[in-house]
Amino acid sequence: MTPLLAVRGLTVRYGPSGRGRPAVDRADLTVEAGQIVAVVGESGSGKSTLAHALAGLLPDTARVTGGGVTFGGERVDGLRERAWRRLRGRRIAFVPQDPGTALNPLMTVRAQLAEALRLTGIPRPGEAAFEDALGRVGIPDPAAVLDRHPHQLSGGFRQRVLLGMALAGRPALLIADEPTSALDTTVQKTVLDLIQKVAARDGTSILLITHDLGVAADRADRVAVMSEGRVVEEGPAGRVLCSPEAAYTRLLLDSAPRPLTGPAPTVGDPLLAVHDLRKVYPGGTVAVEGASFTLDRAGTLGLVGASGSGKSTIARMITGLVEPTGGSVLLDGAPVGAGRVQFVAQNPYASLDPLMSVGRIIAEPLRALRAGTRAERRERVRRLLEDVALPSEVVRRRPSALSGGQRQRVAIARALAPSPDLIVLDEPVSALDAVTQAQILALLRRLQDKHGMAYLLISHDLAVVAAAAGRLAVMRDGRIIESGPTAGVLAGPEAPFTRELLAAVPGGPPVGRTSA
Amino acid sequence: MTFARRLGVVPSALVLLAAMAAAFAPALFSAADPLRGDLTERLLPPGAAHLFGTDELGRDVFARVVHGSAPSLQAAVIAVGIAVLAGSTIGLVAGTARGWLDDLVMRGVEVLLAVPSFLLILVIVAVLGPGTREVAVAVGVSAAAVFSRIMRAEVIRVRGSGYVEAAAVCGTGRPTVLLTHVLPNAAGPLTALATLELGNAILTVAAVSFLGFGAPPPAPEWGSLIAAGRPFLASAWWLTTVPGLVIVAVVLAVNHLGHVLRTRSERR
Amino acid sequence: MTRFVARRLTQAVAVVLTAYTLTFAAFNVLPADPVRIMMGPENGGDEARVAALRAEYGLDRPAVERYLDGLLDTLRGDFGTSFQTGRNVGATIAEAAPRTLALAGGALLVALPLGFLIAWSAAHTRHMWLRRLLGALPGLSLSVPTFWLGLVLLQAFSFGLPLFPARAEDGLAGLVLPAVTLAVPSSAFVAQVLLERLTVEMRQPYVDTARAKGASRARAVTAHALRNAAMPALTMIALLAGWLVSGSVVVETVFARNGLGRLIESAVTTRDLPMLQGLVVVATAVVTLLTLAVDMAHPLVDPRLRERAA
Repeated sequence: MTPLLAVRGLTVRYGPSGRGRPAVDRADLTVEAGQIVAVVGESGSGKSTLAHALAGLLPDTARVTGGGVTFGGERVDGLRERAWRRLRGRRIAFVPQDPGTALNPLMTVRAQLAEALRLTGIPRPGEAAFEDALGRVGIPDPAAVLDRHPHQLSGGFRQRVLLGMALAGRPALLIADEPTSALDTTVQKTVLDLIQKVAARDGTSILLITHDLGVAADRADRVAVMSEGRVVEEGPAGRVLCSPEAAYTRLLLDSAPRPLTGPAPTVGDPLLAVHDLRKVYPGGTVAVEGASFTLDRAGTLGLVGASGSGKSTIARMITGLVEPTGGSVLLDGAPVGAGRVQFVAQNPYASLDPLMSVGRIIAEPLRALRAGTRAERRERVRRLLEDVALPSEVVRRRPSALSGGQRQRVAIARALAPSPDLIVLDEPVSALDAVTQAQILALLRRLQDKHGMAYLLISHDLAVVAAAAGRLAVMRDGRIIESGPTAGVLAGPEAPFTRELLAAVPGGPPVGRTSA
Repeated sequence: MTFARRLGVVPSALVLLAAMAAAFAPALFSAADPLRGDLTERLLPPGAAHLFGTDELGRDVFARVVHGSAPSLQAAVIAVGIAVLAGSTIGLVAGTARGWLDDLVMRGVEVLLAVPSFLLILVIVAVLGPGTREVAVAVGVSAAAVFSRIMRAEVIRVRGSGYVEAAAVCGTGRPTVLLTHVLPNAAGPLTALATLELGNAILTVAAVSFLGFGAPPPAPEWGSLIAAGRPFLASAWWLTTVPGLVIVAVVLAVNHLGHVLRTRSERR
Repeated sequence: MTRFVARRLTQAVAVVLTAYTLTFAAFNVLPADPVRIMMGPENGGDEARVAALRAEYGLDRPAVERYLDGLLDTLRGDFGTSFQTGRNVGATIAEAAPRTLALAGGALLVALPLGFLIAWSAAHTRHMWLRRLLGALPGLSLSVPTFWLGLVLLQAFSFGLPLFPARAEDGLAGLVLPAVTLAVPSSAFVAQVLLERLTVEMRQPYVDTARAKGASRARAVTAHALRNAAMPALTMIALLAGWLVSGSVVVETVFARNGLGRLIESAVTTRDLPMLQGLVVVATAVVTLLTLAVDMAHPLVDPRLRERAA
């Protein structure tokens, strides 16, 4: 039997004459009817270009320069636009990344869904057709959604509407490009459940593009791992993830965050005491309400929560970027002094001045504190670069010449420069790929062992926090709803929200080899 | 997306270099006297002896175009200089101060932007009187509003950026942040805008001079040069067409460089 | 929504009154006084004549008094009397306006479809060379001095091929060349702004979504990207109006048409200050009202703004 989709030696290049380095390089991939196939890779691995190529939606700057694709036994690469239009929507559906921008902001859900229905051959869709399309993606009350605009819907609902439109024509293949990476963990789970249900119910094949090995492990029948444009390994999900053959797959697997092992940290000497912290923004939005916690010297406290839960506001109040409305932040029983608390922000692309050299960036806190002579500062920068394992020649480079991971190392070196007692890490690895993420987390651990500062680690990702923090606090709607030693919280969560959060972690909850 | 961008900046840079050289050392290009003509050589079409032909008084048009580049380009450069200095100072103050001062300044800028720019320029010329320098001031003042807006937006953008936040946590003082982060990062987009505005200013200065508000007659200026050829439109096409082509070439070159600079500052 | 409208309307009135105040200040307070400006730098020494003129135009009254009087008159729509012709400024402007409106209207008739077509085609085509070519057109047209373009067109189509009259005041034939002259930069302006927005919108994922549903490229551009690009591009319409006023000065001079542009030019030449002031106030009011109208239309098109305005 011929497979539904067969990709053989597909090569896609960017650039005016298609002479650039291939973004997809001789890729092979097979999707059988009714199967879920996950394509896993980091950003820049070519997985998104592959997805666009298979839907005939390559940008004008890219073109297929080699290989071929057959869909349902027919060649589809090199099809003319007119022929593609007959396939798209009816036979092949595509859901782009980021539900926030994938719906037209000026059109109601009804208008956009009607367009999808019309294009798949229902000239005058009636109420029943709308209800059917939305009902299939688990929207119980279509009337409540139909006349709304995208900005009035939550991320999860937008993704459902997108799926509803994609599935309106009962396609044989659904290509979903990172359908859940912009969603909170718990919403991610419900959307993935939905996709899986659709595949099982309608026999729709699904090509799931993801950077998350956990998602692939949970949902896919087969997994293809991509790196630098090539499919380095392909096979049944269980086999690829348990006994990987390619070195790159092994590296990817080893990089998945693992919970800390060893005894739970004993209560030590408290460094930071946050008491009844409160932030109300002008306009009355309560961002943080009654947050209290302590952090031990040389300890790590993880703060977990969904986006908008107030965790970043806490980080900003402790670093002095935001003035609290009420409550206190005390370091060793006194208000925070200059240079004692430092900050590493989420986005290493935005947090470094593009015009400054790495050396000047790292020395900035030293200059601000007027610490040492010029020569002493230069020596200190050299040692800091050694600490964060960057070669000394980057001192003269600008941030644009560095990779994301290298940039984050520079930001960490800058935070380390004034020898602070506490570093606030606001989503320090969420903008980085899995392998880099693991390297940065390891670096942070090493630095803590060497210099003995405390970390306040803020993340939406429970797995990251579990891999780095001895203690854990869970936030929801501006309040801390649960806290305690990480191992304890993971083994026996008390708040229902924490349980939900744990159950939603892709690849299974990060419980296990703890000795608690 | 300029088609010419693929050629690189070399041709544009050459045109600009030639224009600058003509402004500073006109003798390099033409030995002929731009003010005195030979009445026996009236209204000659372009040829070997007179590259751009001669006018009704037998003056060499090429010499007049070359000698006209100094006042025409000078006025444009001074205008942009005024616009950049005044505009960015206003924008910097508004963007740094925020609050009522920002509101007040920006309302003022809004008014300046609501007056059609060419009308504003002519009103200023009416007050100051005609002349190359007066035109330069008028064009500069009318362009300042745009620069103040861009500068303010840049200051606000940079101040909200991650690296300024990082500097604040480091304990860097506000004046230092302004000098080391805000100003250098705002300079890139501003330079690009200034270059694009230079092309505009050359066109505007020429238009004002065409209307007769520039330097008084016999002195050659690109705009007035073209105006002087108007009575001979039917008989001596070169009097208007050729100087116009020179303006087009220079403005195209300047705009091309401006676009390259803008793309570069956006790419960062 | 009513409060939003009321606030914006007050702001618009404030802008126009500030424009009046600034011109008054420029003419009366800054360098010299109106009579000296009017007489020009070349014959400013004749003190007796200065005094006589000052009395004649009522300029011997204190500036504050004249400012307040003028402000009240302006609010009533009376812009005073021209120094040059002795006629009412408002009436003169009203008389000249239709010719300029015809010119601007003719120019827009060409410029809007042309600019729209260039931007749409550049966004729609899959051929990079065509997109580059179309994208380069506006920049090219905006590098050409408008007055020179008018002269070249005159040369070619009035003197070279006698298709159109060189200085016909009225009638359609006389309107063609001036309108085309003004349309070239205007269409470039429209195309540039629209294409810039369209390019941004075409990269948005919702365009991919539309095409994934099976929509054609033309439909994705027109029904989706263009709709989103239209509003930000419309904001430019006030700027375009100001631009047309500016352009009419040069074009009307080149083609010897009597309109607002010519009025501006002659008011500057003769330093007719009441006339200039009236022209500034009227032009600013037009631009401000257009800005206001676009701002009002914004929430009607964009539901996200509708909520914010409510």
